[in-house]
Amino acid sequence: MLSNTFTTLSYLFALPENSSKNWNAIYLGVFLLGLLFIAVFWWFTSTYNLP
Amino acid sequence: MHWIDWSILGVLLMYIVWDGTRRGKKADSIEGYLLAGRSMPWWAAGLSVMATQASAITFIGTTGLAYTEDMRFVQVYLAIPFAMILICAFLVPYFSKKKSFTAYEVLEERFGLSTRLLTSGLFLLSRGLALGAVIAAPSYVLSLLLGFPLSATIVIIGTLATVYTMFGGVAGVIQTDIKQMAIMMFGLIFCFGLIFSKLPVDVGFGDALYLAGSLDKLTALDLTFDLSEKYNVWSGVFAALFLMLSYFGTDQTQVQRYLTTKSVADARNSLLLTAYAKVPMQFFILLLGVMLYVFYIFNEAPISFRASEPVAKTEQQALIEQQLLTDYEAARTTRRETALQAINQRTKSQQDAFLAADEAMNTARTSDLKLQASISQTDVNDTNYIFPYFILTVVPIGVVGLIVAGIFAAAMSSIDSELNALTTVFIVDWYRRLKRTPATEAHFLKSSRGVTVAWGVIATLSALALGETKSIIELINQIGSYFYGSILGVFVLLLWVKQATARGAFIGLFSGMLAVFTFDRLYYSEILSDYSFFLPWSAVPESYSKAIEFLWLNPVGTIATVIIGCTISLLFSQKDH
Repeated sequence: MLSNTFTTLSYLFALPENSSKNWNAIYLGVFLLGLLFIAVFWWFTSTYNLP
Repeated sequence: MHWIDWSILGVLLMYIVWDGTRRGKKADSIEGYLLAGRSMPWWAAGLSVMATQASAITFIGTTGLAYTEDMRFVQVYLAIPFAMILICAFLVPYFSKKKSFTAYEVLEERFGLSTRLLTSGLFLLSRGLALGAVIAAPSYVLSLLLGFPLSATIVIIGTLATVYTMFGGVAGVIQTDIKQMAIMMFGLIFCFGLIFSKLPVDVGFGDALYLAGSLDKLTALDLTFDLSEKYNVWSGVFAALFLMLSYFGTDQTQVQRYLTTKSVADARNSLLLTAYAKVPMQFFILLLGVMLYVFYIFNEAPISFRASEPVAKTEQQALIEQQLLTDYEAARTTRRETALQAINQRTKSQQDAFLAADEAMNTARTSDLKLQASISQTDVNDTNYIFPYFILTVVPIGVVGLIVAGIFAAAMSSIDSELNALTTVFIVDWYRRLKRTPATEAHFLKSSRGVTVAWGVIATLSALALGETKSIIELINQIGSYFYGSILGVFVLLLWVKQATARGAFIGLFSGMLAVFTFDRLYYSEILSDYSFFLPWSAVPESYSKAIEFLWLNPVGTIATVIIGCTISLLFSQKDH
């Protein structure tokens, strides 16, 4: 059941198993995610850190 | 602990040992035992990668770090998504094509046996040393919670992890990691919810953030560029990129996880799971540590989370300690009152009054810790005892057992992976490679189980020898930093420098380590405006501090290895070819 859940999730995230994937697009997505983390932490720090 | 907690702890530990042990029954070859027959689903390997990293140190060290300092530690993980892209694109297909057992095996074809033995030997040395710290960390907590002597706790943890890793092999390690990860996450989420249920009714999440923000505890990103600063965005993204590339791309504890999957795509998916989840998870754990600080603004907090009894030996010391305690209690009461006023009025003057009370309280606390240190002549840092104290005194009966099991589980999920990886490297890169007489699969399988036990014993003994040192979380990263960057440099030569030769890689690796040692021993005095080099055995004057913090040692090692490796390769290219 756990396996099926993860397989379903992989489809939702455009990561279908056993098919040709556009890895470059996935890498671009991960790169943007990395930038998003930095942006979120910058926003968090500047918004909530008061001194 | 209550008998119900003991029962829950006992049942969960027995289940983990049983579950891990039974997974090794099908293994009839070392590929089955060490790589699970390359049949693991990507999500299982991915969760195991995360569980290996999320050790007991994550539970107790990171929350303690956020409590005593702030959230800047999260920046160390910012490089993970970027590192994963490079590893998935270049290293994973390479390992898969070579059908290797270990990360170091692939080096022999280009750079010869000596480079393979040196890199794998460095892995055995560095991870073997770090393993002692991984066992010691939860042992501190559990010895406090269970009232056991530290040494007995270390032996129990080391023995349990060794037993199921020896019988279960990598399949046992991965399957137990998944359960251990689930228990650990439940414990963290439960504690987060519990903190908020115990805050005064008129203090909400926004108010808690306001108080923490006023105390400068919500700094998750520091843009200041300073090589001597441990955690800022530059060291987190650039310096830690080298650490993460080396850790996930060339360290056998991680590489072995994705070598158990059946295809390149599965290996990539397992790594990308960490890229998506690791940073938010660390942020959440640090936020939990900050919320613990807010919790203790409104609830009774001891002056030291470690020592509950006075340590004074003379009358004068007792008087000083009593005065500090009185100051602490008075400041704590004032802090609670000013915190409530600051929340209600949100004015600068109320905020300043709250900050002054907090500072007075922390001054008394620091003075008491210094007094304890001067009396007992031991390390009295209580960073790693804050979260355990919360569990012991606040968490309800029944859940304590589950969370303690979670700490056990977190420790074992790191120990088992490392025992298994150390065994794989020793058997494949050393024993099988150097054995002159042919041997059967059954022989290597039996040897692997024996070596697992040997590593378990070494790890337990090194944990006993390690004793209590400074914050363990930093210690482990520091041990790794001495070798990680240089080993990554060899892989850079392997993948991208066609002219690199065996001699170049070997000398480059040594040069990288020498460069790391040199920069690590470089100190700077702001007062004297002077850079000085101090050998490990020489005393460093108080006015001097490290010129370069440990994360930056990773790029130093990689760059030195690549430059020297390229130079030597080009200089001797004709002779070597």
